[in-house]
Amino acid sequence: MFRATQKFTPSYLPLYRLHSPSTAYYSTIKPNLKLLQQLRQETQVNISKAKEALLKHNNDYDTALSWILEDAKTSGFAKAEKLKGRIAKEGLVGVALTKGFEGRTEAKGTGMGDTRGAIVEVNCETDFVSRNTLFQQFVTQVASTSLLLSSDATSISSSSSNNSSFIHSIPLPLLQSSPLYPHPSLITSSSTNLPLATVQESMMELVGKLGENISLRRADAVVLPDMNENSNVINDKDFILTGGYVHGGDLFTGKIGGLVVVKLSSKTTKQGSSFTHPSEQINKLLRNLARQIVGFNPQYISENNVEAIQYGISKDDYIKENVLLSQDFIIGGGSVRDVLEKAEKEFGNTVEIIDFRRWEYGEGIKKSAFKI
Amino acid sequence: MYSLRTASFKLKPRVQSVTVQTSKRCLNSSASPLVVSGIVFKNVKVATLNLITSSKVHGTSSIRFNLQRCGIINRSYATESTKFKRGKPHVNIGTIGHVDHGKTTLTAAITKCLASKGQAQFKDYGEIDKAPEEKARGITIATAHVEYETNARHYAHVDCPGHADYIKNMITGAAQMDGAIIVVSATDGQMPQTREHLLLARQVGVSNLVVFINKVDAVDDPEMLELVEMEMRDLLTQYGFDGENTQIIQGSALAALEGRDPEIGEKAIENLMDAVDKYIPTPVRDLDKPFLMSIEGKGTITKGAEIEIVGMGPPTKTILTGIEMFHKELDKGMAGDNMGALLRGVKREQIRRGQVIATPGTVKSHKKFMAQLYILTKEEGGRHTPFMQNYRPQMYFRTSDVTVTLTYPKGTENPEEKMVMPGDNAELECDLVHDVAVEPGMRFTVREGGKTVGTGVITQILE
Repeated sequence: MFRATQKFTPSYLPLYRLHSPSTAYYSTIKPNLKLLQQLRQETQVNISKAKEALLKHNNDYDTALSWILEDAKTSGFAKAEKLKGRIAKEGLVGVALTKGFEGRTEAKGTGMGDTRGAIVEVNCETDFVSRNTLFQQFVTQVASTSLLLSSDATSISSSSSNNSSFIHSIPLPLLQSSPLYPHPSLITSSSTNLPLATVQESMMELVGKLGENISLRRADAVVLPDMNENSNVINDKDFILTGGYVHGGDLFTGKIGGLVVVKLSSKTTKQGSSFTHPSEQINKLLRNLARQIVGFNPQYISENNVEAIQYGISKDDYIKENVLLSQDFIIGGGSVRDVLEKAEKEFGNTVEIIDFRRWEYGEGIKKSAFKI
Repeated sequence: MYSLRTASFKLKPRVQSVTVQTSKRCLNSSASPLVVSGIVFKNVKVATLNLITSSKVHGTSSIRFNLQRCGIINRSYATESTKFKRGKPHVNIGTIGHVDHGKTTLTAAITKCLASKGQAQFKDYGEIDKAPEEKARGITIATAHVEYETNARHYAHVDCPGHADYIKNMITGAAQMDGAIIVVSATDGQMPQTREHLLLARQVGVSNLVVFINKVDAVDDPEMLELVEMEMRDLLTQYGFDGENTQIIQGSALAALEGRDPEIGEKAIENLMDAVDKYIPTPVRDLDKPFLMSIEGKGTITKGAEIEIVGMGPPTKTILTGIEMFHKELDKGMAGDNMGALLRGVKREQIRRGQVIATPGTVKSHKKFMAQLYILTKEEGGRHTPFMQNYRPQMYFRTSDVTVTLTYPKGTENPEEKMVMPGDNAELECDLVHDVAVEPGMRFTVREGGKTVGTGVITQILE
């Protein structure tokens, strides 16, 4: 048994002398174990890397630290190259929503505006890693980055051919080369003026720390239509609102995520007078609709969207199960359609679901013989 | 675990036939004293359900008692089982660690070293690496099983690819862990997700760990090994384990597997298994527990003993006047027996399904407890849709079914905003409509409209 019989103390340091002939370089200086431990805690790099950093910089903590941060990108990349063949079927779905209203100029003065959202999936190899805060934070940040990217509609909607949809996919190369948006919990800290690493660089760094194949699989976001081009879909009395929900994780990430886009139209002609209801009610409805989508996995918004029903399945049953408006609402009150009609009366606006997304981590990834 | 399970399956037909006989007898002798009967064994929920069903079918006037646990399957049946010898105490362990830190290699190395003493059958890396998907209580779990023994004990060793698999194993009882080996590579030290490994151990109720620091041959600086060990002790302490006294063994599983460098190879594996033998306690088996008989029971009881009927109201005391098994009178009933119990002065109307008889003062009935649940997926035959807080299904324990209200534990943020979906593991607060004799570690299923929607294990009694 090799159990240590005493706890480490700094004075314990010079006890060992290495006889390994291969590394004369290493035998001249020893890493300061206390600094080594501190480096590990601060950067979460593996022990060999932390040791190398200290040896290369003569036990100078600050230079060793900056070396590690710099090296993380290259060594993470090397690690990622090594691991990229392994199946990553675990992971998380992240959802980010804009906090306040983003007004088109016409909407200003009403106290209302549009809201947007983004949804992403990042995969890893085990659910131990997907439960780790480093990974959860990264997925949250990728979702925030996607949200930020999609505020500039030109870069994204041009790549998408379907004009009637509001949720567009973000080209992965664009996302990977964008600077990673800071985590919401860290935004107020003073470190924001540091140069931001790109999504890809941060991901490589994470591979280095967690030692698993990690891959960015997909990212979608709500893109507000250009007023001039899509005037038939949306006018200046309409608002585009987005709801989001994640299940089985923390606030922003989970096993399944959903986005729902709703159009709120004023019924009255007098501008501004109709949007006096509290926004919490709308937010609650949006969140419940997103939860409905996550929980009940609809395939279509309305019956009109249903293309074909498999032979042998009752049409009514199929519609009740797969059409969002016909599903029973998750917290009661009849079907989703009934609930929306009630909300319309309450709000004095028309409420229309215009798009949605529901992603489950790992769906469609082939489970071949996996490693323990 | 293999052999145990096999033995249980072989038992099944016999159990059924016994039920039929007992039912007939009960019909013939409907006069008091009341006859109750049951059988006691472990990991055999299937048989339990069969028992309940058949008693219904035969319209018996007796109360059927299901037995859920027992350590002594061998007492009358083990002759059928060829390999499994009940001489040594049995312990279930598992390996937990990062994908590249050598869990599988270590498991293979353990079987190799013990095989050389005739205490295991050697399983190579490939055989263990492919954790087969199996079904336990209808739930799909990926688990690799290995069996071996040391001089002191017999082990069932499991290795799963993920957190969810270990949790499912705990909930179903398919591969319970009494202890675990945490594997950490000396080249990396603990990883960020080592925290998740320790949290898992906590969650599945493992409080005794042994740490194996693997790949020590790849590190030429003893101080580095010291540091890995020290960091591990700190982390263990931080997560509520006894970091100071946890056994940490250094070695190389690969060296052991390849039969080189015996100091860090075979010797290290020996040290590891010594530590496992010494520091992972043998769990208390059911035979040593106080007598309890429901539709299945545990412990030992002697004729003439005072017993208590517990559940569904205040407990009542009476005397066990006789024990019968296979139409023959017995002096002593033990866990594993399918026995009829004769109770003095008890009318049939006083006994209801779901009650238990037990040594007085040893069991209390409760209404409220925490439980870890797994909700079956659509593919596993479960619900298609999620459920919310205050869901009220039927909960099946032993022989009884009781309506239960499921809520999120106190302190959960926005419980009305949450939901439980098929495929989820969830810790929930369970509130029964009437009290039942329950205790931590007891398993149950949750059913709704004749369909099993979930299965769970009690983690903590609240009221």
